[in-house]
Amino acid sequence: MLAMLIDALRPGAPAVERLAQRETDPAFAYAFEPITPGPFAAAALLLLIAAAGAALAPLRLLLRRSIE
Amino acid sequence: MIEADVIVVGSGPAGAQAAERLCASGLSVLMLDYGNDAPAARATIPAGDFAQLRRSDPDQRAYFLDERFSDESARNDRLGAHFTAPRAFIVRDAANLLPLRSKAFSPVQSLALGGLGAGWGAGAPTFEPFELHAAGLPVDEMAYWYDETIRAIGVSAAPDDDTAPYLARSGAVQPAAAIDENATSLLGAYAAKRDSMHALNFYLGRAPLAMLTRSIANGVQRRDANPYDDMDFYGDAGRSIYRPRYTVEALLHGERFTYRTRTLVRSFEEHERGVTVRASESGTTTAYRARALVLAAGAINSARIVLASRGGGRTPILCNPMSYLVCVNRRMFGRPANGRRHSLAQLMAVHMPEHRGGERVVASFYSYRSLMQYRLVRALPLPVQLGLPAARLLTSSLTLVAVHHPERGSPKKFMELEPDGWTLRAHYERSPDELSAIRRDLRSMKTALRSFGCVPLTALPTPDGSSIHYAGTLNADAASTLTGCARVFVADASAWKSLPAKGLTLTLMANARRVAAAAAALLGSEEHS
Repeated sequence: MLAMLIDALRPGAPAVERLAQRETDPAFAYAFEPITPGPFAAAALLLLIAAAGAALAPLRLLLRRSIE
Repeated sequence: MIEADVIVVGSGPAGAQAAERLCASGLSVLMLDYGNDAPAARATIPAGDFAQLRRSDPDQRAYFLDERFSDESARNDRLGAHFTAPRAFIVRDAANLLPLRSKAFSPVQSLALGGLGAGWGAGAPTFEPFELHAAGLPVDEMAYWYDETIRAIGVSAAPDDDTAPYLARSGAVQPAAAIDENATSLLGAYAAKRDSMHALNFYLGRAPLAMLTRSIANGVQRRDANPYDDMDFYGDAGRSIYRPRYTVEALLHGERFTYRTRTLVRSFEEHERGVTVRASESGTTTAYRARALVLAAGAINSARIVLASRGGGRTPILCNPMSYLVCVNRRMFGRPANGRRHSLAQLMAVHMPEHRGGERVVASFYSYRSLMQYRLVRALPLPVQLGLPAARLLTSSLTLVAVHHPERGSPKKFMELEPDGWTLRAHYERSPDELSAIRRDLRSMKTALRSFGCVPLTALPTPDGSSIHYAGTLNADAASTLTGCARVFVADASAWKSLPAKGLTLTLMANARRVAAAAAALLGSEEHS
């Protein structure tokens, strides 16, 4: 159930296919290049990652137990 | 009629090295192979580095994506899977011609020229003496064969790194490859905490790679140093990364070597003075004869051929468990990624978790640059509008850590031949203790990674069978002949009794040379008697 929920959050295959087609068009290359975050964006991203990790930890534990 | 002194089945890492050694011993060799290849796909890739081609080449879809890209491939293409469009030939026809049924075991098989070596990630660690011993390989002989193989294919490594005693024990190497900023900062952070990392039984160093950092040339071939164009998942620029195809092509310049393609070996039969091999070619069966046979079709397919020759039966199967840890290197936030780099493993770590009692858990570190953003977006639990900016922000700091775990045999890991005489059925089940050890490996590895700023975000287990490390399917005697045979030699990993948590290809090639020398010795002794 939880795995289905997490999967539902991922982009669907048609959206990924459209993205891949666009990524291989040189006219849109700029839109896929790595972004170098400034110090504030980097700090915000780190916080977001840490928060997401903390939020997901109990869910992961639940998921692992449900699999076992 | 004798077709050759020796028939070699398969053109992968083991087959190519065995054939080279046999030819060097003065024997004639017939290599039987299906031999799928994709020269046209290789030719679509222009010179240039990844970032430049992405910005300029209107035809890039052909090699970055491939014409057959669809919803289905978008769904199935996994993060970390490296069979990109120009490498799709590696697995072509294998599902139909090498059928294997299993509920839980998903091996990768190949009918390509060069076998799975055509897509090898080039990780080239050596086994340690206790690992060779556990696998059933002769410890005292292997140092010689490692050296010979390393000289033949070209391996770059860093002999002074902390990992060298565990991963790079041969001195016959090229200088280590340059590493990118991500790897440089990780290695620097590790070095600053070296003592505490060693207290965790964790060692980090540059990856030994079958990749040239200096150009080499022999009589018939030239191979160039890696151009650091970040295109290594797509093409083989300058032939800097070893592929078994290069050995086969070089052998074709000699008079002793014959390469027969579109040939699928089905069975063999040993006689008093030779071996008959039966192969299907375009719907018909052809028989070939030789004085000896070298099986090098890969641990799964060599077992299939042996079982088919014996009318059925069951064999064990070994395969390293593997997991990906998706990490961010916090030191790379705010730092741009340099485009001049290679795409292969930058670093390797050796970890000895306490619960493993000295056994190693080995991890390869990849920076995520040239594997395209759409694959990363698909893996994130975010809609595309948020996933793409997140992926672009993460790219410079994203580090994929591929963790290999040791493998031991068990009665619940086996293959058997189905009544059709060709299809394999695999049963592969890890015990609760094995599963627990893998979880503990990952917990211990995550703790070590966090200690030097490589922050794990999530662990991605891979399906059983996907590590592409297979072994343990056959029994051979001390002379490397298949048990019950005198003229059938096992040159691939089929006869190994265990798999340490390391890339096996270099050891596979070194052992194949050793086995080929044993076959040559047998045939040589017959000529003198």
